[in-house]
Amino acid sequence: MSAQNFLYSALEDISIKFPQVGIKYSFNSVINTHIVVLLPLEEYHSNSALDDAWIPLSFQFRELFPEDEIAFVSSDSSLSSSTPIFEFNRLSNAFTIPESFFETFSVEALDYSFSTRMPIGAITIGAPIAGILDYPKENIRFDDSIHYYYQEAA
Amino acid sequence: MTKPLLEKSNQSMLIAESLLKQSFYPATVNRAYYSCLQYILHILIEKQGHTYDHLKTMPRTGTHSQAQYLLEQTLVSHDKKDYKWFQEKLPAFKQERVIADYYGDPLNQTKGYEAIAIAKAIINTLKKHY
Repeated sequence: MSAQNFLYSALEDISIKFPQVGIKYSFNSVINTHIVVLLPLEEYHSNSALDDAWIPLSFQFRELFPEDEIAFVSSDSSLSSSTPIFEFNRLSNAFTIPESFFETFSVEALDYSFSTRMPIGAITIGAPIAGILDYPKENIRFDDSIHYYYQEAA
Repeated sequence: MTKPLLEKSNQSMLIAESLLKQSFYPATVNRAYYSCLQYILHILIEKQGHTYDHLKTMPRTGTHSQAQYLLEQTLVSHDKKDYKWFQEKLPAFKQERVIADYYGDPLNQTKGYEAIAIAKAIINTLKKHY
């Protein structure tokens, strides 16, 4: 049995026992190490039952596959990969910040765009602001005629 | 009793700090990493009495791998939290060292400082238990 197949089976067992824990497996070819990411962060750091599941597995794996290295890391580790080879209990949202917090902001950010209409005929030096704002807006033509606007204003 | 590995670890750290001041960042990462490795070997050989022959007979490839595995076998019984942190941080540091030594990526001052900080954190964590 290959190291990867062994890990697939063992991690699947852990994923069943801990359905709230996301498990991602990848192989880091820079340091030739099997990387297992356990998430979210609070599960990795605070779930002692989870520790009791993966720590013996880490030693067992290295006994069975002495040429291989393995590391169990948290989601904020530099070894964490965004393209796992396989994963279990894929979490829909690894972050606990509610989306509604950003919802209004993000909608406004997406809808905002620079205006391409302005009260062209009303822009002259000394023109009252109120008059300019009330003047009907026209589409700005982004061609050579844009120089005309500056000349007219002057 | 002389402890050459401890002395080498201390020297490597001093050299790393000196290299950082001279803006030699890849070499800083290299020396900081080896300061850690030499400290681990100091624990295994000079404190716990393991021999180089014992390390070689272990069915693992490479001194780094052998040393890490042997150390972790006792660290996990000392403190599970520190073991978790150590088995995550050392491979990440190893990656930084490999990139610094063999890849063409430029390294900046931050990487140099980070390497020294993580090396000291690893050594201080090990000092707690050994």
